[in-house]
Amino acid sequence: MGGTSWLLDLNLLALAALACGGGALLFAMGAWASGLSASPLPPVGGNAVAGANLGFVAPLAGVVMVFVTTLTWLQYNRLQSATQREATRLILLTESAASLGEPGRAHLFEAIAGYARAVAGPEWEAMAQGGRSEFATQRMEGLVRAYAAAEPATRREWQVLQFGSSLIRELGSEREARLQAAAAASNPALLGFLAVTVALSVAQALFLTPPTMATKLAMGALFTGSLMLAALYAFVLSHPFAGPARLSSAPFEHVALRVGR
Amino acid sequence: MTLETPEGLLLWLAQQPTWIVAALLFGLGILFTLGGVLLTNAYLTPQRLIANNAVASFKFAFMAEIFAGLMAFLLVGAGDRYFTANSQVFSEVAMLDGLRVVVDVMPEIERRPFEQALAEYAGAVAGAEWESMARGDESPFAAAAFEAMLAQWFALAPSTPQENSAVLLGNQMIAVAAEARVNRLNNNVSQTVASLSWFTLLGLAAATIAFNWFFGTGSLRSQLAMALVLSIGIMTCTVLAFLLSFPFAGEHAIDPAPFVALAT
Repeated sequence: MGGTSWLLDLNLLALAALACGGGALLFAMGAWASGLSASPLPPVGGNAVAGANLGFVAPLAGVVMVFVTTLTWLQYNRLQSATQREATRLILLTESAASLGEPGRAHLFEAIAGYARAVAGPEWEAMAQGGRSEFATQRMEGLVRAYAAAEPATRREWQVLQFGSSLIRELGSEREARLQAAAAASNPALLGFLAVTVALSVAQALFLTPPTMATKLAMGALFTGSLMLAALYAFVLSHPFAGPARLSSAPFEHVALRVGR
Repeated sequence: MTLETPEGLLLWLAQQPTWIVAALLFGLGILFTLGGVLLTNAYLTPQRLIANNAVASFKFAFMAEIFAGLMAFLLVGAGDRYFTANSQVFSEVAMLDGLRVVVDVMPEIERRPFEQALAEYAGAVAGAEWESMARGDESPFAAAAFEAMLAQWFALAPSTPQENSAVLLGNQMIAVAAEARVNRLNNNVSQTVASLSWFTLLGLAAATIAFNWFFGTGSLRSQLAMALVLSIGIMTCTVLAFLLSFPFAGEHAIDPAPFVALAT
């Protein structure tokens, strides 16, 4: 996240204002810089050529925008879904374990709560960096061992433990899905690709010369501000652990609380 | 819910009848379009605007590509969420109904607490949770009722081979019901993300409409007419995407009737 972390502390309106205002300022600087070197009059046929080039860049930019936006949205949604599904399986494990006798129930409760707390705590922080927590991995292994070592006293307990075993298997898959989605969510390469596309589009637009500088700046501000707004959407969604679209570890905290009851 | 935040405003609008949503969005779009055209024509001469047409049209065509792409993304996403949420409702109800059938093999004294817990959960979903989902939230009351239903299920003590088979089958059904519940709640996008999506789309729509102000024609009337047609086109897509984005709010909200039937 590095140098952009302070941006994510801003609210949505401030971020949008910064993106649009910053874009307009960049365009204005570009217009000023291009005005320094170009002749006061637009070159003959210059707008037609610049317009044709912009017409070529437009569908490419559109495709890149949709590609990056869709991908970041899918990764975000995958992470959110995997988190919820994993927490729901932990709830099912908790409720099923509650029907067991002691001391089996206490051991399983401890293992479930330990894993839930490890995910809500150290692993949530690790996921923000695209990683995983060794502590949470150990807690997961402890949970698996607890179920493997459980001794049913009745046929009903055997059924409950069998059900729990299938949930443990699914839990492992959902955990991996969650961690992979977290690692893929923040993709600097994707955002860099988007930034380059926006920059190229703005640069191409600078070659167009309207009759007055005022209209050039006004249209340029609208043009660049729109591109920055669209890029902002992908930027915010690509940071699922910070900023306006921050995902909460509350589902896992709820599991730990539930076990405690 | 407060109208002072963008999220509050979106939620309020989502809960209004369709004709109010359409009237507001179309009305605002048309006013913005026509007002801007009149304003620019008041401050700039038609000749200056006409001289701008070539450059403005190139940039306008570019923005059309970006707007269309993002609109397609939002429309497809909203439509998918709406129809998936609908199917998840029926999926969850089918499993819960299956549990009612499965538990029937047990003696009444054994199965009664579970049946009551299931009815209470269904009632909580149809009532409190449906209202919460209209706001993009889940209901803690319904979540607690769900956990209570799970507790009653796992408290069942089968004593015959038939009852054992029923419980084994029921375990699979309850897992599927839990999955469907999670998917139903997940499809109801969080208000923050919904606000972000709408913020972006409406900002782009406004910028696209505003670009139109920099065009000039020899006739203000024809320019106003073209701007009106453009605005209607943009707002039609916007209204459609808006109506699909809130599957549990408004006139086209998904019906809780399947859960109501389970609660009785």
